[in-house]
Amino acid sequence: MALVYQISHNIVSGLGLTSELNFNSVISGRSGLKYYPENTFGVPEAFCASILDHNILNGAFSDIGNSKKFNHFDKLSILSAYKALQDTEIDPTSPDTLFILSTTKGNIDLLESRNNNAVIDKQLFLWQSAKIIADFFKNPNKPLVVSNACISGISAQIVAKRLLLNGKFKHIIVIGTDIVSKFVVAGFQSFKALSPENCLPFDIDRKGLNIGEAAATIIYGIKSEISELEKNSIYLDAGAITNDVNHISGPSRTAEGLTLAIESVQKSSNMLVPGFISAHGTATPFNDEMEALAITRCGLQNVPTFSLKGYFGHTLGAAGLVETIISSMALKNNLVIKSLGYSNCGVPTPITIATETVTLESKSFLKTISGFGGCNAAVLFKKS
Amino acid sequence: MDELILNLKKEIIEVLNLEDLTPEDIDANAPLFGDGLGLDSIDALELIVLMEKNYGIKLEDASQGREIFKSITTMAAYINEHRTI
Amino acid sequence: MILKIAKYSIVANFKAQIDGSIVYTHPERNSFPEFLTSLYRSFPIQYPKFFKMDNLSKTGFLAVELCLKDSLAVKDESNFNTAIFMLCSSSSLDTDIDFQNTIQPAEYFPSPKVFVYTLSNIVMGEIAIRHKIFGENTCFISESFACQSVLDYIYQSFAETEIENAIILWDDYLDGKGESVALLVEKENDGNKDKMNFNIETINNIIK
Repeated sequence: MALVYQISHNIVSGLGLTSELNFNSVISGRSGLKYYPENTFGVPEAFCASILDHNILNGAFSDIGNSKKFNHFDKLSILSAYKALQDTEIDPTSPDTLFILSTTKGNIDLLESRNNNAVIDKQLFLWQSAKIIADFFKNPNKPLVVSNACISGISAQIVAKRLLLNGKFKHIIVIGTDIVSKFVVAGFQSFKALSPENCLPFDIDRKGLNIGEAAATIIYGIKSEISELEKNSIYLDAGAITNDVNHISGPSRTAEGLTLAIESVQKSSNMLVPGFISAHGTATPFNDEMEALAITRCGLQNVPTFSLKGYFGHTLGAAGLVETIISSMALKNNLVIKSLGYSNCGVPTPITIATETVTLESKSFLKTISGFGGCNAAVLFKKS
Repeated sequence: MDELILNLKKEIIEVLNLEDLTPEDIDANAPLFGDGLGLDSIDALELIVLMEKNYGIKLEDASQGREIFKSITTMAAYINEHRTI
Repeated sequence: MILKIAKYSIVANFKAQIDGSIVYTHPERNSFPEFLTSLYRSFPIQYPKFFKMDNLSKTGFLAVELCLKDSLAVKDESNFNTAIFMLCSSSSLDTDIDFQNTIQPAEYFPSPKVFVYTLSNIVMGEIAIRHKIFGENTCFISESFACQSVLDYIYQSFAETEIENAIILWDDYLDGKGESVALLVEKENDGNKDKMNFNIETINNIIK
């Protein structure tokens, strides 16, 4: 049976420019979240976010391209893909290689400087960003863009899996990127969804989410059988996307969508109980309650679970990739990660939240994720 | 107060896109949420914006909304007492 | 495995069509949003939520409403094995600009009802709620509807999962101009052998 596996990956975030730096920060308990006072970005209320230093990004990008010729969003994406490619022998110029971009808002910061009746800048189109990225690597194929709210990063990996199985490509480079902008901060503030302090996923005192910016890349390949995989490789065994059929911005109170997604994955992977769960855990009152309910409905309330939002904030279109990478590294190293910000159970259906980063021998992990529009996804990753 | 109630009805119809309703269709004492006009959580947030934009009232705690937005009458009473514009 | 287009609809150019036949023509060509409202009112449905939607959602919603009219494929109760695949060029840019206008320094009142529509996948959310579709919903941002990789993905999804049918939606709205095409796609069976195949040539013919 063919397997779709991770060849290499990269994270570029406020915690560093490599997956290793990011992972080391996480296992040391170090968060990238900082407090930004009133009037940051022209937004009247204070907020907490994880933002990259532009000078550091531009400095690193200057090694590979002219940092004045690309937008912030594009540079982040290109740098991450470049670093993921570096330790591989993959030829990004090959027609066997496809780029997939996962993002919710792309270059949305460009809207701020736009005059009301001006012609719309082509760079605001997400397919144009994807083209700029693929062109940088001289890839001949039209790149795909997946824009599925906060589940984009997981959606994009499911797209990669199915396309690799379909057979037209040998390698798929999945990049997930979103930036912190006035647009996004103001938007979430209008929903009263942001916390002015570090977020507390699943905790009784949780007040809302924090935004983060990041670019993360996973390069996927395919092998015909598990025996061909190097030991300790991580492969995407099963994935499912569903809809809550409830409300466009609030999750189902009975967790219909996520429960269906997890059940589907349990069935197709023949894995009823994963080693640990890398949850969405945004620290909003409704999401965490819904997610804990779905986990419980699927019989997984005793499985060690963590949210990474306390380290990275919610990185939107990048989240599915950032969190898959960190969780995959944890799986490889037989660790479970401390769910930063958790002290006391704040959900009606208690689940097992990991309160320390400790050794845990696992063969698999379940990634869960949900987003505006009622979308939900679950993916099971296994270790060979 | 009657004028405020009428204005509120018009503003709510416009802001919440209640296309097929006129002010006469809305009972000022009927519940806005649940069975009444069937407004939802996004509508509640939008009413908070309306209070600030049109009446200069900033709600520090969004959960205060539950009492204030019970009906147009309760909303008008609150605005009457707290408006700054 | 062959996939067939059981039915299709188009909302564009101030007209609405089902399976190539025009079912509604708007008397004027001034305002696309007005055309959308008139088209909605020409249906027997009562769905007040329609008026809360942004123009991108209305355009897509109406195409799907037409496509599923009188259809038994998507049932009134829960549809677990129906998927929605959407392609869109401008994403939610039209509404993004509206939202940006609510956060100007001179007049800063960010609007939640506008912000919620600053994601193109919300269109699928609206359709899922209306037609009780619990299955996969994935949105691709593509310059055009005829995108082979997306078609390959859809094909593979039918092959690998329990999807029985799918709505394939092309939906775009920007600066007063909108268009949508909705296809109801299913695996070939005895009942649909005479229908068009779902492939890039057919899509190109439909959107010509």
